[in-house]
Amino acid sequence: MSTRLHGTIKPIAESSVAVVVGIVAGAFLMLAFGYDPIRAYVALFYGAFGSTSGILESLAFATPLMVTAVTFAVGVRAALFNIGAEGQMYLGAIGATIVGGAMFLPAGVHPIAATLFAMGLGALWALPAAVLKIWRGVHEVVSTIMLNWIAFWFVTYLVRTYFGEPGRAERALPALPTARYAVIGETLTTVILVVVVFCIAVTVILWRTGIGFELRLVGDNPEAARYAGASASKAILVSFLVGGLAAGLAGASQILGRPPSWTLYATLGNLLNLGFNGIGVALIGKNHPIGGVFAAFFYGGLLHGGRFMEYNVGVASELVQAINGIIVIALAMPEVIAIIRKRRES
Amino acid sequence: MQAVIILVVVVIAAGAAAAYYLTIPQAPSVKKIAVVSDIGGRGDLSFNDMGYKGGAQAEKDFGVQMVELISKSEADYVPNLETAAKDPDVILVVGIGFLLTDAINQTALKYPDKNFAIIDGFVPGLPNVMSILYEEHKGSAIVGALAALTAAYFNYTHIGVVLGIEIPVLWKFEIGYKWGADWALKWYKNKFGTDAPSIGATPVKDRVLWTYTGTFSDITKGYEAAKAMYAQDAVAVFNVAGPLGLGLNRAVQEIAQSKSVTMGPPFWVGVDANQDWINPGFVLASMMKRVDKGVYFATQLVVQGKFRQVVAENGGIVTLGIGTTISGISIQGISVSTLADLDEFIQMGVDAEKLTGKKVLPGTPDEIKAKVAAMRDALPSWVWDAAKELEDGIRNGTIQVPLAIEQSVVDQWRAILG
Amino acid sequence: MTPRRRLQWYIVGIVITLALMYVISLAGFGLPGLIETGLLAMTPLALAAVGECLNEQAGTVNVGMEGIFLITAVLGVYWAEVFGSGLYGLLFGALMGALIGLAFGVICVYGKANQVIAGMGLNIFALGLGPFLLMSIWGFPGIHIFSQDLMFQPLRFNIWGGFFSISPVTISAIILALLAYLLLKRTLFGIRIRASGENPIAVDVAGVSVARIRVLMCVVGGALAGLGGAFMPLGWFGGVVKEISAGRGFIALAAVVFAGLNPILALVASFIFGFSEAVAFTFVVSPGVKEIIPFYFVQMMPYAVTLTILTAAIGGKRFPRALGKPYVRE
Repeated sequence: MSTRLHGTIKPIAESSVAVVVGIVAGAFLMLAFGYDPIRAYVALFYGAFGSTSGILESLAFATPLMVTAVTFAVGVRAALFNIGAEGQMYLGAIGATIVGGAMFLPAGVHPIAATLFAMGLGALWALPAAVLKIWRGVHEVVSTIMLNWIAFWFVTYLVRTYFGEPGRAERALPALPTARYAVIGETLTTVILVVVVFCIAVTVILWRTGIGFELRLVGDNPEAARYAGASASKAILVSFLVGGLAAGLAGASQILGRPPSWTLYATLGNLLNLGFNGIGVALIGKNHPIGGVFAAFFYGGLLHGGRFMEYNVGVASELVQAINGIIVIALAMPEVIAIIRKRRES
Repeated sequence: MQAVIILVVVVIAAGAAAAYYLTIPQAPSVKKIAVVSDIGGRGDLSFNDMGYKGGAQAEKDFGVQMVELISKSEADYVPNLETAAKDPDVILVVGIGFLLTDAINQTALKYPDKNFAIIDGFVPGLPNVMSILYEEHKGSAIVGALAALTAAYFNYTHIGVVLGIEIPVLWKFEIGYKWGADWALKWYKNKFGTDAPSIGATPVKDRVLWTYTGTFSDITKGYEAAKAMYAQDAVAVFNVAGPLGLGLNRAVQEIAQSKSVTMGPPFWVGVDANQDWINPGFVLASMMKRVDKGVYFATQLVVQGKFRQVVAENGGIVTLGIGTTISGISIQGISVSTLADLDEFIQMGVDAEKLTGKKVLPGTPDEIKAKVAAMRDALPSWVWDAAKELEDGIRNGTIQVPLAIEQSVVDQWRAILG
Repeated sequence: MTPRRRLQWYIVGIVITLALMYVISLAGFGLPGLIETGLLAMTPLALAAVGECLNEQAGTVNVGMEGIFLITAVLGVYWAEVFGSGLYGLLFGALMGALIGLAFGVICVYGKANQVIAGMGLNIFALGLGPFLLMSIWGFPGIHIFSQDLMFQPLRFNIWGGFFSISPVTISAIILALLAYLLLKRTLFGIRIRASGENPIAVDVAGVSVARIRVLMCVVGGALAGLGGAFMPLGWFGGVVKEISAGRGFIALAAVVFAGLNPILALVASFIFGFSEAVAFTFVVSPGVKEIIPFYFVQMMPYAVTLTILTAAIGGKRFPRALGKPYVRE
């Protein structure tokens, strides 16, 4: 089979195997407690993908995941572990709230301005991790985890103190009608188009521009990159900035593009874990922005489908998160089959 | 290559299983009521669990089946409500909690033939939505009075309240509680001619220690907040944060063990459900918000075919309080726990024990009742008399408890009462 | 920075903390109560942090401690009910943690998995498994309160004019921190552990299995985190909720980094974080004081402090060279 085709099918197969492992493990968990896994999964997948409204809703859940996946993926491409999507997303959300909820702009301009501002704040929050890495060699796993939590408390503070909706202290100022994206159906809005375009743009940057090439070179082969004159610092900076823009967009999508509330809750509950789930999505999508789009659709389906599983069979929908976790762990193991084969040979 | 083959086999097998299951005849349809809970979800021993209790009671009495949908994040509200509304067997969709307001609004507009009810939410004007509100401020005032007088009797300088997420519903609790405490101390002065000891001497604005923890699920915060309040000489802390009551209880337990006492002080005050049984002797009383009665009432109306009529008669808003009557049916929506109520909730515990085979109650029903009775007797009768006087005044309208649901009103009262 | 300078910095830090405590006691905020709470909050953090120090010294980083907390909290309560004893609950909680650590170790060492991803996967998995277990075991979503006599009782001393209680688990945490430090610094095995993280080739050449050491440390780290997780319901709260850990696993991670993988410093850091949380609550409920520092900034503190320490690189090099890299024999 041609290498190009093989190169596309192999990663899909690998991801699919990991997904199957997760689903089978979930089935065992259900069996262990006396639930019927087949009925449960049928309910889940049929509910998530078996009707128009199900698909629309799955897409709505998938939208932010597509971009938080980019955050992680573009990090991996530069051999970085940017797990700061959570924090960068929170900043993006508060940015969208500030421009989308507290400022008055004409209808055509408003969503664009709010989205751009949100993306900018997300990128801003990614900067410290990048700078610390370049300047002081601080490992980005630790710095991004710390920054995530600092962002959590900082944004909570901002929502409660300055940007709370008057009379509704549990949430921030909702996005004004002029700032909202158009509703397509259920809770899906046209912001998904912006997100997909963004993913395509990142793909283009990574594979068709000089800076993208440098970034990937630094990630794949630091030695060769050095000889070629590619700057590791630039790669790190670009990777974090793009990641921050992506996460900021994810945050904006939940404020400007998610009915019925169009707002950020003071518990940040409508954003929590979207960043972490983005890691799983990125892995399933093999760290490729377009792969991430499809993987996000699948993941979004799982997140949406869980309630049908709960409604019809009584399985706690949190099991879906457990399945996601197993998929991530399975994907953390590279080339397991190759290893098994090697051991068998030796 | 092998992976691909395995994959194809798996997918075909899955598809076959799915097809098989989809063709199995469905069970005969039963009328259902769908209860959609908020993110804190069930297990809070108060708000959401009371909603469940109401549904369970309706199941028994009306032969309907209750199905639950638990919201894991705010993004789940609409999908959950839609799932319930789409099911043709569902005759009533109940949203438990103020945070579901927008979602109920949107879904009710989309499904005008379905009946909706929301607890604590305000969705007026839709013919298919009943907003069930409660007069928490009135009940909170009574427990505030109880707490303040208990502080006076035992010579403590403060009382406390631990709240969850700062939503307008909780403002009612907060201001009602503080107002009630103030009323009680004025009553004391009136009756005994002098200022109440200890707490009476504390400046008005400092008497009630309060904080919003920002969560309805992180028990540690309840524990730490309460512990800090008890350390500052609070005799009783009112739990307005659902499961955080566990944390309050923990703090009380620690103090009780270190002082080797079997009944308070210190006390905590339960909320929504009757929580007196959780730690008998240390729970001064519970401010019961009968969410269960609200859910039950809505179901009853639907089963009797009167739902839309009652909604129309009352403009969609049904307010349950102390001694209220809605369209001729009397419902006690708010009350402060009495020994009689205790029986009902102890029975729930007994049933739970039978069901799971595990110990739930901290003693036999008689032991629990005895401890609670002993605690009540340890307080002088004037404390209970004052509470009764306040309750009667509220009931017949001679006493007005401030209702604070706007920021400006809240700020006004905070300026006076702390 | 020389060890001497480092020691001076830490003495400064301890002095500042003691001064703060003195001020607090003067202000009448009930210092013994605060210390009690601080010790309680410290215990799960310290246990996980000490375990993670050992883990990371050997070269495997486990960011999944939050996940271990969640799972062992629920399972610890389950086993406590099965055996009717809080002690057994704690022991089995530690055992569950050890098993998770074993699985993690095998996956990372033999499966050559990416440790950070596997750790994140563990967190995500636990986020789902915890509530699922709560519902499936007890049929009651979100929370489970168990009988009070299953609580693992603390010891009580009559000092400072009142009762002071401290749990044996807390004392164990302190002892374990000391033991871990001695293990690392003063035993041959400790040298091998540290070498596995710094220079695994040397260990391999010496004929010792790097894989075994790393997996063993993962088991130990998991066991300690498991004990910490089970402690939360059984030794502290009296009940288990689906969010019982509330991010503490990440604070433990911060403590580990803050301490430069030194178990004793990790203990100190855990206490500082736990104590500051207790103090924050006191501020937040005190009329007059609550306006001074917004509560949210106090909650931010452990993370901000750690980040600052990392930036200023106090204490020099913080991580073993081979940390996070699966060891492959060339």
